[in-house]
Amino acid sequence: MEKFILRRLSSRKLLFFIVALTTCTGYSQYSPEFDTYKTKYPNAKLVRLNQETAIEVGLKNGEIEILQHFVEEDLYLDESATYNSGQDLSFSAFFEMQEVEAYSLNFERGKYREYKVENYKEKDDLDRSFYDDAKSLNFIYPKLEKGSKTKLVYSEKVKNPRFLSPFFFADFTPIVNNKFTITADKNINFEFRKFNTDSLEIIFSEEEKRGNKIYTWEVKNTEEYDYESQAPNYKSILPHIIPIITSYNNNGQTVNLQNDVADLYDWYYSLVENINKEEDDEGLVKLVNDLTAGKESDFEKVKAIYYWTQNNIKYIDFEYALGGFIPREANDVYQKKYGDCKDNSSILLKMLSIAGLQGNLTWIGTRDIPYSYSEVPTPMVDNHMILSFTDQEKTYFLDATGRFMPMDLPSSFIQGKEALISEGKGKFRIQEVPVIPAKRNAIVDTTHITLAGDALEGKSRTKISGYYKLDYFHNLENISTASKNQEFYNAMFQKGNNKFLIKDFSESNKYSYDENFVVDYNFGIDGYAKNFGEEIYLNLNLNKELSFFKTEDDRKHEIEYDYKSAYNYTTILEIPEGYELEYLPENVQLSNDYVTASINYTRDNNQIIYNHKADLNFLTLDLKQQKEVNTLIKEMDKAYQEIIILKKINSKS
Amino acid sequence: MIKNILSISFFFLFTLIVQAQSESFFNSYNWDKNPEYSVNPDSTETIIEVKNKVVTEFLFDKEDDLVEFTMEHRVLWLNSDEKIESFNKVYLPYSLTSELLVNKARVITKDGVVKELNDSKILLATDEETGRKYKYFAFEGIEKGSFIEYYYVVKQNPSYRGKRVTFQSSFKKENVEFDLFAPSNLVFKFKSYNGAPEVEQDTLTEDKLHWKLRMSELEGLEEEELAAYDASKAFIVYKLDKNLAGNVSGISSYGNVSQNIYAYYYPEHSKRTQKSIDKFASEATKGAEKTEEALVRKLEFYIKTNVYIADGGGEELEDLDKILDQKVANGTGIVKLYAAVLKSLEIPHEVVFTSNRQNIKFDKVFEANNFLTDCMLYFPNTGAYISPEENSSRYGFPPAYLTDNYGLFVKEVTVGDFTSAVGEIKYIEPVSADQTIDKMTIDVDFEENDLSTTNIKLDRALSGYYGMFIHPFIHLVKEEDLDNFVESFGKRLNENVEIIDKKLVNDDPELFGIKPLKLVLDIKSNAFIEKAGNRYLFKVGELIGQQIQLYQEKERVLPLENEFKRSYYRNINIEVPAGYRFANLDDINIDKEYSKDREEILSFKSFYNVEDGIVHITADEHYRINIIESERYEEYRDVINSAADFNKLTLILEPVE
Repeated sequence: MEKFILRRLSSRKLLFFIVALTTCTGYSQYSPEFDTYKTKYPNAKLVRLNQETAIEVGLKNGEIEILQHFVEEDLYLDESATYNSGQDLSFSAFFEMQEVEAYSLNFERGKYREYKVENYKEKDDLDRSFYDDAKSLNFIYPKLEKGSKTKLVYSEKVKNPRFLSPFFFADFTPIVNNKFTITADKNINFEFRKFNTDSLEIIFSEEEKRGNKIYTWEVKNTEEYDYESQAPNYKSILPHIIPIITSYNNNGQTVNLQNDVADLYDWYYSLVENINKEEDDEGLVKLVNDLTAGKESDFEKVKAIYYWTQNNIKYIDFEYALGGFIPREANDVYQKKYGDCKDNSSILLKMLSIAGLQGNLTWIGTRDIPYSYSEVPTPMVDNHMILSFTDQEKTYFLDATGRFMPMDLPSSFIQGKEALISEGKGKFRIQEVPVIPAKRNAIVDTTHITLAGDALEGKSRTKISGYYKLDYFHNLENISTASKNQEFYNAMFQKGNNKFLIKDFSESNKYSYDENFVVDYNFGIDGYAKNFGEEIYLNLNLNKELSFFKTEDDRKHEIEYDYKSAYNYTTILEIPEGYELEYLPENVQLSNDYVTASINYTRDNNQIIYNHKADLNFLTLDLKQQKEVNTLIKEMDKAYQEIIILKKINSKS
Repeated sequence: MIKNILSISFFFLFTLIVQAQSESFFNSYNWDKNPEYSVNPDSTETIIEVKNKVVTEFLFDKEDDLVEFTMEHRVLWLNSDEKIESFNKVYLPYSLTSELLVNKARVITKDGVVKELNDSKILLATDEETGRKYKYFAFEGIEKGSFIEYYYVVKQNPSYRGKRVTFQSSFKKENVEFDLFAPSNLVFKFKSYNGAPEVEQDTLTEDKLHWKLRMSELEGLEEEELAAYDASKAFIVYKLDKNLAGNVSGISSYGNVSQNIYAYYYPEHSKRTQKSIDKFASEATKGAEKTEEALVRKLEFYIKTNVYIADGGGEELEDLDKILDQKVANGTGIVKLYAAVLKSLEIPHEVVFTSNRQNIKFDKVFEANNFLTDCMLYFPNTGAYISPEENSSRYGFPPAYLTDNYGLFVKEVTVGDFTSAVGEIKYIEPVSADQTIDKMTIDVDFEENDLSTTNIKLDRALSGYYGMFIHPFIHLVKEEDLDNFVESFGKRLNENVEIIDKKLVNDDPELFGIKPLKLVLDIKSNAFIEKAGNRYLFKVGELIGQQIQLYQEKERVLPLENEFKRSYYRNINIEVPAGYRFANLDDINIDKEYSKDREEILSFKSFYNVEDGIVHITADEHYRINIIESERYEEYRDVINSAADFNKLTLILEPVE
C-alpha cells in the first residue's frame, strides 16, 4: 500500500487544495471589474481592491490618543469564494474594537448590491495562551460566490502609544490600491522604519493642516506572496513600514517615548523594578541552599538552580494586559510550580540572588522577528524573556521554559539574536546570542555489519548531542510504552530502507542534561544485499542524510533550519568467509561554504570500513546558497548510488 | 447537530407524577477532609487514576421540571513531567444552558501537603458562536509524585435519551464508580461495552431509583495504529426507557426519534418558501441530465459551491428562508436544505443517522440517541449516499468511517392522505474496492548508449476515495500548485528524476466519480540504475513508490480498521536493451493472499511474462475488507509488507554471453 498521498502535502498546501468547492454554471454575469482582474490575476483566488489604513494620533492633556481605521475591500475570482464567508477580527486589552461594519456585494442585474452582515459574535481566544485578553469578533459574509466583493470597515483604539500597528504593503493576495495615512498632532514626532521595500514604488507625501501633520504612503498593484515551508517569517519578506512615536512636545517640554532602545529599556525596567520585593519564601531559600550545597563554583551553583527550574516549573502562560510584560513574584512561581518565560526568569533571578549570585533579566526576540533593537526600539522587537548569567566573561542565556537545556545552549530559536540585558536602572547592554556550531549538534554512529544471505545484520552505537538530543528527548517523553519506544527508534535510526528493524536496544544517559545520549541496538535489514551468482552487491550508504537538505529548484524564499548540525556514520563490514573484495567505490570529498561532506572506504584485512560524515554549517540559506548546496548534494547522491562488489574467492578467473 | 432535533420532544409529560421530592445525592457529597491516597511505592507507571467517580442524578425541581445533575470526581497520581504537563490544566464542560454548582480542586503532594485551589483562580472563557462557555483552571504546586484531585457538579437540561459514559483510558484506573439516580417513576436501561461490567440496580436506596457500577481496577488500553481506539474502550450507554407514572415505555426508541426527525426535516412549507425552494432547485440543477444520479450530483456540486456551512447554533442558520436567501447554514440547516430541494425535485431519498465507527459502533439492538451523531442522505434507487455536511465528500463516497456500520434510515411513507415516517436499522455498506482504484501503467526503456539512464512513462489514474481529496476541487488549484502536484507523482519515485513532460487528463471537477483523474508523466532518470562491473542493477521496485512497512513488536490487541476498501493495479513494461537480458526475473514473483469463505479479500500478487523483448510485470494489490480481527493481523501485515518487498525489487541486467 502506498504511503497515502496526502502525507506529501504540507498542511498549508492542503489548504490551497481543499479551499472549497466547485463550478457554478454561469448563473450570474460578472462585473467588468471582475473580468479585468480575472485576466490580470488568473491564478489568484481573490484580489484586494482596496486596503486603507488611517491612523489618527492626537495629544490631549499630555496623553497620546490613537485611533486606527481600516478599510478592506476584496473581490473573489473563483468558486472558492464561499470558503471565505467566515471571518474574524482580533482585539485585546491594548487594541479596543470600536466600530465594525461588514457587507457582501453581489453583482446583480448590472450593478453591485449590498448585503450587510447582521450578526457579530465575540469569542475568547484560547489558542494563544492559557489566559489572556485576546478576543475575536466572528462574522459570516452572506451570499458569497465567484465575482462577489466584500467590504470590511472597522476601527480600534490603541491603548498604549508603543503599540502602533505596522503597515504591510503586500499580502497573500494581490493588492490593487494600498494606502496608509497617519494624521498626527504636529507636536508628536515619528520615525518610519521601512522593511523589504527596496523594489517597491511608494508614493509618499507629507503635509501640514490645521496643526496636524499628515503622512501618506501609497502603493499600487503588489503581487501576492506565496507561502513556502520553512520560509522565514512574513516580516522578513513582505514590504512594510513600522511607525514609531519617538517623542512629543508637551507644553514646551520634550518627552521621549521611543527615541532609542534606552527609552524602551526604561519602560521595560519600570515594569520589572518592583518585582521580588517580598520576603523570600522559606521553602525557596531552603531549596536553593540544598541545591547549591557542596557546589564549588558559581557555574555549578547556577547549573543546579537552572536545571531544577527547568524540571520543576511547568510552562503555563498568563498574558492579561500588562501582565504580558510583568514577571510574577518568584515566591508565587515557586508555590504554583508553573509560569511563563517572565515568571521563569523571575524565579531564576531570585534563586541566584539567594545563592549570592547575580542574574540579569533579559528581553529577546525569537528568530521569527527580524528587527534589531536600534531599528525598532518598540515592544515589536522582542517577544521573550530569559535570564542572563555571566561567569568569567562568558554569558549564559538561561531559558527555563524548556527542559534538558544544558548551560551552554541557548534556546535554538534565539540563536544569533540580540539580547537586551538589564543591568539596573538606566543601565543595560545588548549582546548577541551565539549560533551554536554544527559539531555541537551531532549524530555519531558506529555500526558493525555482517551478511547472512541477502539479509544484513548489524550492531550500532549512536551518540546524540546538542539540539538533536533535545529533539530526541522531547519525543521520547511522550512515549509511554516499550513497543512505541522501539517504533520510534525504528523510524529515527532507519538504515538502508524500511525493512530496517531494531531487535533490541539499550539507552544510556537518557534525559541527561550534560551527557551525550547513547543508544545501543541490534538490527537487521531483510533482503538488503543482492547475492547473484558468485557475486554479492551491497550499498554501504545506509544513511543518505544529506539528501534531505536538497531544496526545490523553483523555491522562492530563503530556507530556515532550527540549528546547524553534523553527523558521522562509520560502518564496518565483515567480509563473509569465502569472499573477497572485487570492487570498492571511490572516496568522495565535497565542500563549499555551507556544507563539508565526505565518504571514505578503507580496506582492513577482512573488514571494509566505511565512513560518511557531514557538517551542515547554516541556519538559513538564500536562493543562491540553496543552489550551491543542491549542486553539492547532487554529487553526493551519485556517490550514494555506489555499491561494493564481493566475489567468491575460488571463482575468480 | 443532531442534538438540536432530538431534544425536540413533544409528548413527554413528566408532570403527571405526584410524589415527594427526594433529597439530592449532591446535597451531602463532599471530598475527604483529610485525603489519604496512595499508590504502590515501587510503581514505575507515569500516571494512575486512583479514583474516578461519575454520578448523574435526574430530579424534579420545584417547578416539577426534570433537571439533571452530573458530577465527575477524579484523583490522579502524576509521576512524570509530561503527565504533569498534560493534566495540570483542566477545562470543565459548561454551556450557556448549564450551571456549574460546585467546582473544587486541590493538589496533594508526595509529602502529604494539601493545597486547595482558591475560587478566584477559576477562569472563564466564552464563545458566542458556539454558545459554549468554559470554566478552566491550572493546578498549583504539582510536583512529581503528587495527586491532583478535582470534582465538579453541573446542573443542565436533562439528557436522557442515550448517553455514553467512557471509563477506560490509556492509563490504569482504580476505584471506578458510576451511579445514576432517578425519580422512582423513571426507569433507565443500561448496556455495557468492551468488557465494562453490568450496571446493577441498588434496591437499598429509598425514595428513588438507583443504578450503579463499581470497578476496583481497570487496566489502560494502549493505542494502536489503524484501530478504532475510542470505540474499543470500556464504556456504558444509558437511556430512559419507561415512565411508570404515565405508563409510557420505549421512550428513547427509534420509532419516536424517526417521527421527530421527519417532522423536523420535512415540515409543511409556506407557499412563498416552497416557491423559493423550487427556484433554488431548478437553478441548482440547471444543465443536468434528467436522470436521478445526474441531478443529485449537480445539486451537491451546487450546494457545496454556494452555501457556506458555519459552526455552531443560531436560529438563522437553520431557517430555510434565511438559508435560501443568505446561502449560509449550519450542519442541521444544510440537511434541511437538501431535504427540501430533493423533495421538490421528487427524488426518493432517506435520511440516515449513524455514528463514526472509529468513535462508537452503531448498536442495532440498544436504541439510544448517542449513536445518531452523523447524518447522510441515502438514495434507494442507486444505493448511493451523500454527506450534506462534509464538503470534501461527493456523491457515492460518503465519509468512509460512517460506512461499514449500522444506521437508522428514516423514510417517508404515505398511507392514503396521511404522510409519515418509518425508521429502519440497516447496514451501511462500504464502497467496494473496485470503486477506489489507484492504477499505474509504467513503460520503461533504456537509453541506447547509456544503459544507466532510463526513460519512463508513468500513467497514473486515481478514482474513488483516492481521487476525492483533489479531483472535485481541481479547478480551484492554482496553476503552480497543480504543476507541483503532478510533478510530485514523479518526484516520489525519486527526488532526482527529470520530468520531461506532464499532463492531467479528466481534470474536470464534475468528472469525479465518473472518470478517474489521470496524471501522465514522461521521466528521465539515472536514479534507478546502479552499475556493478559489466552488469546493471535496475531498481524496478522503486518505480511504484515507497510502500508502507508494518512492524509488529508486540501482539496486536485491537482489530485493525481501514478507512476504505481499495485496489492497486500496476503494470510495468520494460523494453530489454539489445545485447542484454534480465538474469533474475523470477524474483518478481510474489503471491500473498488471504481469503475468507473462499473469497480473496486481501492480496498482493506480482508476476511477469516476456513478449517480443518486453518484460510485462503485473503487481496488483487488493484490500476488499475494512475491518480485520486481531488474530488475522499477521496475514494483513504479510500483504502490506509484500508491497514493501516489491518496492525493494532489483533486476540484474547482464550482457548476453
